Amino acid sequence: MISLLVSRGLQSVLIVALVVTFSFLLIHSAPGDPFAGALDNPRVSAGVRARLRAEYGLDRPLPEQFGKYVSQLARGNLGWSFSRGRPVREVLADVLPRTLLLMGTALLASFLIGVAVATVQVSRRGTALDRFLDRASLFFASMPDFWLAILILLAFSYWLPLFPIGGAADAVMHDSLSAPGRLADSLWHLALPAGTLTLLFASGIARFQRGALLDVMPLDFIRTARGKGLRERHILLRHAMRNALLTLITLIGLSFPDLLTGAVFIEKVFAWPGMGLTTVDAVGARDYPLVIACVIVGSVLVVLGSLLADLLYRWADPRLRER
Amino acid sequence: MRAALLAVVVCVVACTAGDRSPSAAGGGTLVISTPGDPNSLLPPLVTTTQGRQVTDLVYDRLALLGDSLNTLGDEGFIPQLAESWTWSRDSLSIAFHLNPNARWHDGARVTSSDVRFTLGAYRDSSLASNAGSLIGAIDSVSTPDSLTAVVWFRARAPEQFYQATGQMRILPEHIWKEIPVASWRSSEQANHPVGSGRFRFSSWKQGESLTLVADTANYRGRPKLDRVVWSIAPDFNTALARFLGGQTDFFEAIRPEVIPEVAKNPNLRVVTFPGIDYLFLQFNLRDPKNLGRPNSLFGDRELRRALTMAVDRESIVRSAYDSLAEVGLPGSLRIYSTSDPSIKPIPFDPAAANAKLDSLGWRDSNGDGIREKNGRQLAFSILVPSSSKARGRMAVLIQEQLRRAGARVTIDQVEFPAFVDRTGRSDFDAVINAIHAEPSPSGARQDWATAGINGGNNSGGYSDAAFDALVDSAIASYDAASRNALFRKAYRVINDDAPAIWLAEPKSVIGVQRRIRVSGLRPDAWWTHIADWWIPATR
Amino acid sequence: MSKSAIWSRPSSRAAFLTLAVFFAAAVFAPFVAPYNPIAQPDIIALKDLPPSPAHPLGTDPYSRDVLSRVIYGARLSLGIGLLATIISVTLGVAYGAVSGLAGGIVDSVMMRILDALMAIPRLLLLIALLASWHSLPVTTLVLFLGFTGWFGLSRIVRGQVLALKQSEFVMAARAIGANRGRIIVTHLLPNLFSVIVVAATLGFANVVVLEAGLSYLGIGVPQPLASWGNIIQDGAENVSGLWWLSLFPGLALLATVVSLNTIGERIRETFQTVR
Repeated sequence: MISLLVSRGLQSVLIVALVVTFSFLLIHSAPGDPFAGALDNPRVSAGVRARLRAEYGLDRPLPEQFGKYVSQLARGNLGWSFSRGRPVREVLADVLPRTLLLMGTALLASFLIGVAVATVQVSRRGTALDRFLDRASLFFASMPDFWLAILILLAFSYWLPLFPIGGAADAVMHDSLSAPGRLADSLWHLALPAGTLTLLFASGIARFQRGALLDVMPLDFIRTARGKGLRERHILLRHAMRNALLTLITLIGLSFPDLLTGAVFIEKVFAWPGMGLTTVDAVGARDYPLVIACVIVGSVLVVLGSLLADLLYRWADPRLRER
Repeated sequence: MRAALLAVVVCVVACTAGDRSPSAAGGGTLVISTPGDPNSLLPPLVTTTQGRQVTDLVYDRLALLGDSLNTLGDEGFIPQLAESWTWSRDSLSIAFHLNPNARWHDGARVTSSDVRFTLGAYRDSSLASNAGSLIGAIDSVSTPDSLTAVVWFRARAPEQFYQATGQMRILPEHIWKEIPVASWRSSEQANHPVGSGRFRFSSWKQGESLTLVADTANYRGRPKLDRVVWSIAPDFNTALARFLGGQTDFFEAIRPEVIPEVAKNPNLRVVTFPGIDYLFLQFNLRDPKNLGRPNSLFGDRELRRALTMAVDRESIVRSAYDSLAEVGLPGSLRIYSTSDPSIKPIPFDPAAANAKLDSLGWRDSNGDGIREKNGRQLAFSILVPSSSKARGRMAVLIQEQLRRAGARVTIDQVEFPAFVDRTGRSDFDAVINAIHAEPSPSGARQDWATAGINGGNNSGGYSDAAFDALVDSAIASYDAASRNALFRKAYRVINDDAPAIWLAEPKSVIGVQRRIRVSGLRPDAWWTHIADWWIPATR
Repeated sequence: MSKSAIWSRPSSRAAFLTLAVFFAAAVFAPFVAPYNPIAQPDIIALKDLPPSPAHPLGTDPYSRDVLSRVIYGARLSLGIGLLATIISVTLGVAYGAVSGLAGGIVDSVMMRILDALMAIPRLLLLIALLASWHSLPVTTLVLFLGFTGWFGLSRIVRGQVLALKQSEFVMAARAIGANRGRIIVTHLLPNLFSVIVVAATLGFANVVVLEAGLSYLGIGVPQPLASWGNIIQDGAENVSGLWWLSLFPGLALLATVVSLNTIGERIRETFQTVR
C-alpha cells in the first residue's frame, strides 16, 4: 500500500509539473507581453519600468523566465495580482475555500441523492416511477449548467424570493450577526448554488449508478443470494450496492473536472465569490498571474481527486487489499 | 411539518436581516451599492469613482469646492483643513491657516509640512499620478510655521485657488515619508489609509465590501452616521436585487428599464439630476503599436468626419438610455456656462457619409460589403469595458450602423481594470470612453489638449495648435464673457476636427431608501456631504 | 448490431426527429428565417419586444428578431460543434492509435502528457486560451474547442489497440509473418466504430453546451453573430424582464443535448449487449 502511495504520489507530482510548464507556455504564447500593464505606460518613468522588467525577468530568455517562475512557485510565491492589488496567494486563500465548500456540499448531496434515486429505480424497475425518474435524470443531466442556474435564479430569487441573490454572505450585516446567525446566513446563501450543482450532478450519478446496479444484478453471486432465500431489498442494499459502489467511488474522484467546470458557471450566475468566478474575472482583466495560479490549483484538485479515487477504490475492494 | 418548516424559515430570515438603524442618539449605517472596487485608496493614484468616493471621506482638502461649483476665485469654497486663508497682494501666493484641532486618524497633528509633502507626492514621477497636470500652476509650498502652508503659484490665474485646493487630498507625511515612493502602490499602507477626514477607514474585502466608520473626535465634528459601507456587486441584477430588498440604501447609475420597479416600491426614492459625465467614441489618432506615428486610418480627419456622419447619435442614445441621456456636446457639458447650443454637430447623413467615403478612395471592390483602399479593409475594433452595459449596447448599435456604411467593426470587451490600463496606454483603435468631468470647463485642457496626452486623459492623442491656444487663453481669462467666447471657439474647432464621435451625456439617476435623509447632492460628486446625512431613529 | 433496435424506441425516433429539424433549420437558415439576424430595423420602437405574431420569439435590445437569431444560431452552434467534434475525434483516434502501437517509452511519455492535459479542467483551459487573444474569429474558436476535446477518446482507443496487440488472432497472424501493424489497423477500425460513434455523439453534445457557455461568458462567438449562448448573454442583464432571450435558446440547447444523449446512450446499449 505504501509503495503504491509513493508511486502514485510521484506520478501526480510529475503531472502537476507538466501542468505548470504547460500553463506557463500557454500564457507566454499569447500575443503581447503578459505582464505589460505598467511597463509600456509612458507615464511611468523609464527607471521604474526597467526595474519592473528586471524583477519579472522579462528581458531574459524564456527558459530563464521559466526558472524564475518555478523557483518563486516553490517558495509559495504565486505572484502579484494586478486586478486585485494583492498577492495571488492571498486571493486564492480567500476564494478557494468557498469553491471547495460549494463543490464538497454538492458532491455529498449528489452522491446521496443519486444513489438513492438509482436504488429506487432498480427496486421499482419497469414501473411508471422508474420511467419518470429516468426522464427526469436525463433532463437534468443534459441541462447546460449556466442555463439551469439562470432558471433557478429566476424562479427562487425573483418570482419566489425565498433565497438571496448572489454572494456568499450578507455583505453588510454578516459580521455583526451572532454565530448561529452567521451560520444561517452562510447556509442561506449556499443553498441555491449548491442546490443547482447538486441537481446537475445527482442526475449523472443516478444514471450511472442505475446502470452499474443493473449490471451487477444478474451476476452469479446475486443469484446465489436469491437462492439462499434472502429478501430482494436486502440483496439490493447489501450485496449489489457494495459492488456497484466500487465503480461509483472511482466516478466521484474523476468527477472533479466536471464539478469545477460546473462551479465556474454557477459561481458566475449566483455571484458566489469562489475560484471559478475569480478565474473568469481574472481572465477578463488580463491578470495573468492570477489566471495561471487558478489553472494550476484547479489541476492540482483534479489530480488529487483521481489519486483519492484510486486509493479509495483499492481500499474498498477487498480483492485488491492484500498486496 | 409544514408549519415547523415555515417557522424555521421565518426565524432564519429574521435572524439574518440584521439591524442598520440608529439608536435614539443618532448614527446608523449607510450602505452604498457599487459595481467595482476602488482601484486604489491612495489619493494621487485614484482613477475610479469608487476610489474618489472613499478618499473624499477619509481625507481632507485644504478647502472644499462649494455646491455652486464655482471655480473662479475663492467664492463659495468651504474650509476643511484650512480654517481661513489670506491672499498675497500680487495674488502669487495664498497662505492657508490650518485648523489647530486637525488630527490624523492615528492621533498625530496635521501640520503644514504635510501639505508640502503632499504636493511633492502628487508631482513625483515614480508615482505617476494622473492629477499632475491639474496642479501645474502651483510652484511650491512653503511652511513659515507648523500651522501655515503658503502655496506659491507660477503666475496668477482665474482658477488658481481651485487648483490649490481641488485636487490634493492631504497625506500624512509621518506615515509615508518612511516608504520609498516607488513602493507606495503595493504597500500595506496603501490599502489601509490614514487620513484626517470625518470618516476613518475600517476594512476592505476586495470584491465584497469596504467599510468606513465615523471619526468621533474629528475636528470638524463627528458625522451623524456611524458607518458607511460600499457593497460591491459587479452584476447589475445582484446589485439591484439587494437594493430592492433593502440590503443596500443607495444605488447610483440606475438603468432606465428598472426605474418603474424602483419607483413602485414605497420605501425607495428615485432622484434625477444633471450629469457631469459624457461619453464618446474616441478615435486613436496615433498608431497604437507606435505612438510616434499617426494612425493609418484615423489620422485622416475627413475619414473621421465621414464615419461620424454614418452614426445616428440621437437614436443610439434613445435606444441605450431611454430618456435618461442627451446627445453629448463636443468637449463640453450642458451644466457649464460655456456650452453653446448653437454649435451644430456633424449631421447624421448616411448618404453623405457613403459619398465621402467613396471620394476618399474607400470602395468595396470585391462585393463583400466592406470597403477597401490600397488592399486594406476599412476595419477596426472598438474597446469597451464589460462593466458598462450602456457602452456595450452603444458599441453593438454603432457596429451595425458602420456596417451599413461599409466598415467592419469588431467589439473588444474587457474587464474594467484592463480597460483602464489599455486606454491609459492608448492601446486601442477606437474606444467608447467616458469622462467624469471636472466642475470647471478648464478640464478640457486635460481631456483634449496636447498637454493632456501624457499625464492627462487625452488617450486618443488629439493635438491641434488652434485648440490648445484657445483653451489656454480661455483658462487665463479673468473676464467671464471673453472666457465663454474663447471656450466656444475651441468647441467649434474640436467639433469640426471630430477626434471623437460625441455620444451621450447621461443624467445622474440614483435610488435611495426613503429613510435616509440625504442632503447636498453635488452634481459632480453626490458623496461630498455624506457626513451630514442622517437616519432618523425608528421606534 | 441492429439498427432497428435503435430506431424502434419512440424516444430515439423523437431524438432523431428533433436533431433533423435543427439541422434542417441550420442548413436552410436563409430560407427559413423571417428576418436578417443581424439587422437592427428600429433600435427605438422595436427593441425589447416580448413574443408577438410579428416576432414569435420577441426582439432583443438591438431590435433584432430573436427567432431569426435562434435559427441562425442553430447554424453556428451546431456547425461549430460538428467541426470541433470532427477535429477531436480525428486527433483522439490518431493519438491513441500511435501511442498504443508504439508501445514502450513512447507510449509512457505520451500517456503522461495526456494525464497532464486531462488534469486541467477543459473550461479553465479554454477560458485561459481564449482570453489571451483579443477579439477572436470563429475559426480559432473551433480549433480551440477541437484541440481540447480528444483526451478521453485517445485513452479508449489506446486501450483497444493494446487489447488487440495481445489478442489471439494478432499473435497468430504474427506467427505466420504478417505485418502486425497492418493487421491491427485493419481490425482496429471496425472494433472502434461503435466507440467512436458514441464518443462523437456525446462529445458533440458537450461541445455545443461548452460553446454556449463560453458565449454566455462573452468569450465565445462575437457580436453581431448569433449563437444560442450569446443570445442568452444579450438577455443576461435583465433576466426577468427579457425572459424570452434566456428561455428559447436554452430550450433549443436542452432539446439538442437531450436528443444527442438519448441517441448516444441507445447506441452504447445496443453495441454493448452484443459481446
